[in-house]
Amino acid sequence: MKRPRAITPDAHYADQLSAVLEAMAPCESAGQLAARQAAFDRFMEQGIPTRRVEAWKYTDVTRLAEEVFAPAAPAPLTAETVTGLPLYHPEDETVVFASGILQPGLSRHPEGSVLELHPLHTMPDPTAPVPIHDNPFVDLNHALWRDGALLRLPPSTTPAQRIHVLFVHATAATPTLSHPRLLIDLGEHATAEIAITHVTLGDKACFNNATLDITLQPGAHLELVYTQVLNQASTHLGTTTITQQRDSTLHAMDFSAGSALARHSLSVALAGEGASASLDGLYIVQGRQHVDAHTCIQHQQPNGSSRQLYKGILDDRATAAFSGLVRVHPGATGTDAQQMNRNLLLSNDALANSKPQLEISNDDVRCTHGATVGRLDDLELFYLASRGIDPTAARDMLSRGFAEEVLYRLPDTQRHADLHAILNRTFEKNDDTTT
Amino acid sequence: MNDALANRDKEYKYGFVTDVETEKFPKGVNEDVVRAISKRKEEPDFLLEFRLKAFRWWQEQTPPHWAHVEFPPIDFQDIHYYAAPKSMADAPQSLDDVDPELLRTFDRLGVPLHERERLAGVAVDAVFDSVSVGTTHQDILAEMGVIFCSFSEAARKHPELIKRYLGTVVPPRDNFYAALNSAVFSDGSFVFIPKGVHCPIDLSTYFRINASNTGQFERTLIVAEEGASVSYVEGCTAPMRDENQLHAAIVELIALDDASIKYSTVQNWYGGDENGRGGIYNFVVKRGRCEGARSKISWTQVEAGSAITWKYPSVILKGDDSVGEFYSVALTNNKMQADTGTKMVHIGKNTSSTIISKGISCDGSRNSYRGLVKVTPGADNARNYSQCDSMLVGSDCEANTFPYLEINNQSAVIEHEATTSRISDDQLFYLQSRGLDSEEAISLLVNGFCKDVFKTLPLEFSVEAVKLLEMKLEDSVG
Repeated sequence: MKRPRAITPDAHYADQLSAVLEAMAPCESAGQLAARQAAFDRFMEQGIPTRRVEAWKYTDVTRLAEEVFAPAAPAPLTAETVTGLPLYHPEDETVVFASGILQPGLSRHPEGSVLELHPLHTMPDPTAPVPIHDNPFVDLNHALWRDGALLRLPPSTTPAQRIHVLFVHATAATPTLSHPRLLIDLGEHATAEIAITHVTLGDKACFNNATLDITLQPGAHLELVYTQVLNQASTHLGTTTITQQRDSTLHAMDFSAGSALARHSLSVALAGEGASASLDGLYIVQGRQHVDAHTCIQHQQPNGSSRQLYKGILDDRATAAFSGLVRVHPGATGTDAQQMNRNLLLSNDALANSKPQLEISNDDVRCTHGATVGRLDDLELFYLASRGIDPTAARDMLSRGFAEEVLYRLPDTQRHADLHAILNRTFEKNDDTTT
Repeated sequence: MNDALANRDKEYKYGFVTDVETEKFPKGVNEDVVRAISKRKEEPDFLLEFRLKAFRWWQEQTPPHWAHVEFPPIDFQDIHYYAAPKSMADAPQSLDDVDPELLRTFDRLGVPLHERERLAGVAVDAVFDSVSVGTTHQDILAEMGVIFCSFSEAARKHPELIKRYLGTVVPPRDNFYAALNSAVFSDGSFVFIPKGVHCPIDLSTYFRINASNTGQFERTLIVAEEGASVSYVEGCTAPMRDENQLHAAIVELIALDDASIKYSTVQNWYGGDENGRGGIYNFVVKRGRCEGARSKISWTQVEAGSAITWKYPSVILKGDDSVGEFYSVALTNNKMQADTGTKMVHIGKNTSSTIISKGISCDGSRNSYRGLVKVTPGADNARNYSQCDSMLVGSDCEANTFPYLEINNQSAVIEHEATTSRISDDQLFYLQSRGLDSEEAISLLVNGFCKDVFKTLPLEFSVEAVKLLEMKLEDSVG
């Protein structure tokens, strides 16, 4: 008998819904509560997808159907803990979430900042944009989120500082489950640099199921850095949906180094004419980690451009999947789209899957895509050896160089240094195990 | 009305119907039909068992839907599973006994069955609906030990070879259509090249669907023993009819040590009219296995017909140092839909594969490349290069690329690249300024686009393929 396409989720999800509905009843409108119930019904109806579903072909999440998670409770978080986190910078405008709950006391909102921060509960019906992918986890997030925020920049503004949204996930003996939810809206011609970071405290397992919805109004520009460095026991499912209006520009850096299982689905809709999106991604996995980088770019209007460069480094028994779709709609003439995925295998037991896809319904386009998988080049290694560099150092140098091509696309030296530091730690760990 | 018919003729010149008395089994499929087909073919018992097993499994399955094509559900009970010209019932002893009407059909198609055969230098097996009409050059081939005959004949004369190889590359439970074919396959070709023999002439099978409401389920099996080599060519046409007809074939290739098989297809089934009415559903499973070391299997296909093409000629690179190749041109026009590509599965060490795919979509058609390159953990030093280019002609067509790379060995070097473009106004303007009219200019550019594939075809076929594309493009870009 064929495997089913979806598995019915465990009953504890329904218990969590009851708890959430009860807790939210005092502060949410009847409409909001009904929306939660409706989202939950959609989640139950779809179930947890198995690998028979094309979008989940390379990532097995079926254990999430059976495993029991406790709702995450925010552990007491001190200012010292936050400032000690790897990507924290005191000069940033920082918004801190502890296990999905906004922490105003720990956030830093400088006097006179143009950034508006609205807690989601106070919003009249935060409308959920329809996700481009059918993704039951987005529905789960919309049903069970406990807290969230809308970050808004008024038209033609540029914040003086970088904005850093820090999601801190404390772990406990029982695996915890949280559903962080964030909305970002950049007004016309607003410009911002926003970093989104997911980190864990402790080494136990947690499961976070995050959604991020971003709207760029006409002419807005966003520099986005999405970093996922959870501990090696955790699961991260992130769904980011970006809608770009006319002439808006986006540069995103999608960095993933943590988690036992991580999947970030990044969908960009170029909904206005002349919008452009540039996505860079770097995933580094080792041990038995699995990472799934999922992108979808919808060219809906004329003269849009998109560019993607995703690189992966895989060691030990790690597995990675890249699946990127570029969809050019019938009216989107003058589209220019490029997509590239490169994978470096450092071990013979690593498995790289790549699925770069083009769907084009229009003849006035220029689209290219490519994918490569391979190990370090023997000639390059030989060259370095001939210059007196020992093989371990040579391997290290070439692997770093492979990753740096992506990191150097960050215009901000501080962010670059942060990610570089994470990269260094990863390679050091490697050296420990190999020597 | 006459004008309209004349026009249709120009679009698809193989669209005529041959008026021969046809014997058909009643519509529908059940165990009795399967038994009856087997009995009619005087097959050995193991083959009947093979069919029945496949049929029982098929009954439990549901048709797959994952391809990027759309069509109404097929009523599998509304198809004749066996159709044969009546005059074949008395089994002609030689070509001279064959119904002249049948021979004329193949003459009209340009397939040399009779005297012209010697000039053509190609051995042909012609399949008309469910039966093989005749195979040429059998005597010359027999001298060298090459077996080239219809599948039914092979099942009677060489059951041990059929038993040994049938279903070893495409098992009956491989997929829905493979199971259906395994249950009801009618005829096809069998080729066996013994150890060390280089087949001196190209072998060719010509498939023709004539009867209405029938499905064609042919089965081709090619075995090249150690050090043998063969070049095999396949061509297909069907009359123009307003209903859709199903063609679900299986082709299995097996290459032992140092053997090489080159399989070329020019597929020009009727593709339906400009409103998407009629045409063949071409759902074919083609797969080769490089069983032995240093063996080579090469697929070349020119897909210019069929309402829906759904096929992935694949190579399983099992032997060390084996080589797999896939060269494809897929042209779709009117409302045709094609979802085609290849699978290269690297299992042996030092294996290499090349994929060159050129898709041309015109009018309101949909053309998808779908391919898999899989490197298993033991396949050290695997090498793959894939290039998939699409060309769009007109603004209502669709070109898609869906490659899958699954790499489980660090010594692999895998490269995939794809581009999508159209014929640029600059190119057209330049050629027109040199005195070419727009049709010639487009045909020149398209030929250039497909050159990498055409040059791998046997010469006569290459010429035919170029002509075929020109004819198809005439109506699309006129």
